[in-house]
Amino acid sequence: MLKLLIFPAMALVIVMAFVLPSPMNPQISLGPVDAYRIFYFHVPAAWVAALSFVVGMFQSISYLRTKDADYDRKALAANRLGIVFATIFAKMTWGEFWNWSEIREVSLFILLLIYGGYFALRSALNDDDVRASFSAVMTIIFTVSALFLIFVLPRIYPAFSQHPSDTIVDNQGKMSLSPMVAIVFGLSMVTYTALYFWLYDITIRVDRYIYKLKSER
Amino acid sequence: MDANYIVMVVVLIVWTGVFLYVWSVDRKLKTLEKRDEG
Repeated sequence: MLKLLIFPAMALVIVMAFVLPSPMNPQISLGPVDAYRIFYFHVPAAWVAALSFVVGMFQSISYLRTKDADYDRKALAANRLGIVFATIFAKMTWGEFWNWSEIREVSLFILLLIYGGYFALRSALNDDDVRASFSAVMTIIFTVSALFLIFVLPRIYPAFSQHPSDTIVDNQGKMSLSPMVAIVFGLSMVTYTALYFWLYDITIRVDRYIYKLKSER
Repeated sequence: MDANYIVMVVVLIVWTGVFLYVWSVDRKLKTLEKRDEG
């Protein structure tokens, strides 16, 4: 029944995201302040993508330790969802469809190529055990790369990012969100995380069901 | 009407559709799993 709460929680986030004043200060905004309302959805989507890659890494470690194929299916489901959430981003945040000097966009592009390689390798290997072992090792290496590309690289080269750097925490390390914005943002983070785990559960169950059908043939 | 509110209504409709779709997939999966157990 907890799944049912995801619907009103997300609906509330959507309504509040449009009813509240924009989270961006109009005096320092680079573009239309209303475009920054994407903050309520874009940041939680990025958080869930990173979470998904980490979940995939732990499932891969479990596979290498136990050789239980169910962990391989769980890692695959996590990596799939990680890519889905990682690609939810919008033109309006920075005003251009693509910008090679935007370090976060380029990092995400590299990330998509890396995980494209993961899915290509999976489809190229026919032996279940070999595929699972290779995939597990790749997931562990790729997750470290993903975390570096998402969290570290954009902070090493902040000048190459058009993303506002002081949206959540300012230069003095203090919370820069107003209390109401912080509550809606927090609710959005929790709702996105719950939605992620629900989708993760469905994806694993579908994969298990397909595997069962195939093994019964 | 403010354009923001039109976008809000569209987003709410899209979210309702997405939720109902995921919910229906979950229900169908449960039915299949129960059928296989029985």
